[in-house]
Amino acid sequence: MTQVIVPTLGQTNLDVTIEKWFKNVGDAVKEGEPLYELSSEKLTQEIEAPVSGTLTKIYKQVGETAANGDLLAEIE
Amino acid sequence: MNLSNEQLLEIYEYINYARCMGERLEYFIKTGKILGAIHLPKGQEGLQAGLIMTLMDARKNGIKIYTNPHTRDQALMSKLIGLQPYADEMLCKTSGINGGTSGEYHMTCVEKGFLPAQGVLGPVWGQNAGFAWALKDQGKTDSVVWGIYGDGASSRGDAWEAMNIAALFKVPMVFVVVNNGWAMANPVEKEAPVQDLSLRAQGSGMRGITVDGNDPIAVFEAMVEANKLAMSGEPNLVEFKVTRWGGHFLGDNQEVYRDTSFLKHLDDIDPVLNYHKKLLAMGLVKEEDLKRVHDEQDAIILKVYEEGMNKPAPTVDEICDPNKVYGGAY
Repeated sequence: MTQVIVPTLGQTNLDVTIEKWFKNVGDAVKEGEPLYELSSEKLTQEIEAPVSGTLTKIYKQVGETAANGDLLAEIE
Repeated sequence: MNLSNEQLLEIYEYINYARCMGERLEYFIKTGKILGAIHLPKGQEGLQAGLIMTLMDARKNGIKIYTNPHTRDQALMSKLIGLQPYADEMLCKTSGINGGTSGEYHMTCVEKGFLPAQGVLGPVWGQNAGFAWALKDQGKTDSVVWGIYGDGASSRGDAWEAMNIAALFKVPMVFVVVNNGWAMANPVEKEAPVQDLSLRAQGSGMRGITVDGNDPIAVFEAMVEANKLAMSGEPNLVEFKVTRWGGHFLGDNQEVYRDTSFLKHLDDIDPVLNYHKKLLAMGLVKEEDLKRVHDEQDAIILKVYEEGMNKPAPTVDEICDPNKVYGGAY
């Protein structure tokens, strides 16, 4: 099982908002495919799946905020 | 300068290495292994390969290069100080070049030629010029300093002072301006009234030239010549024109300030692909070599990072120890 965590993109720890999930729970995901999009005051970024597998859990839904290092999803 | 086939293939390795370094950094940031903000080198691999080639060539000829590479120079940084100490520092591990305390921009190891840099970019040229002055004073005629900064930094007042004093004291320094057209979110035409930033060298009576930074051979030739001039008492400036593909840092939404339609036609301007095509036409490589060399270089980088990830991180006390902030530097 691989955990998907919120990366630190900017120079400071900012809360980010989940803008979009490109996959639903149960979907097959491929390493390198867009998985979700996050945004904060100064940035917007699409994040790809770190591994191939099945998206088994999503902990933060669209519109929810999360901090750097928070668990977002699990891929098995 | 006529490059040998071996030299051309060496550059082929470096340009692929630079591409892989950018790809892996992006991957490690997005998977939370490396903390931001990191300025990715995508699109500037031609310049990186040319600079690395010049560094390696200088080493073979007994010339010591001192420089402080910064944003988008990760490939050069790692070749300067060694991939493992570089990667470990990026991962904030005690085995990093500065014990995992420096972050990307403030890595320092004078012994290996990596000069310290402060956070404001333009004034560092002044520090570089001062270091070059010290080299001259000590009679080190086989050494040269590269001050590598962007179009934005070169527009600062301190940068002009540095050029003036370097030219006045005839110090062994090459001013390298990486003109990628963007000072963060500010386009170069809104910060400089000249098209070629190399013109600015004339104000200090220095030679300034503009070179296509996408062509690693042109970069290598220009830097070898620039080094020779600098070491014979003629500091000079070389401007490299390149294209920044991504935002200022990973996460920077450049869509709001920049027309990014060029990203749909990257094959035309891709320095890695163009160099591959050049060697292909010369019969030096085969079509499949691009993927092979890319994957070889990627495997080298990945292995080093994976080794680094299992190493210990510094404690809070170690991070807060002021003597370690510039550990190994002096």
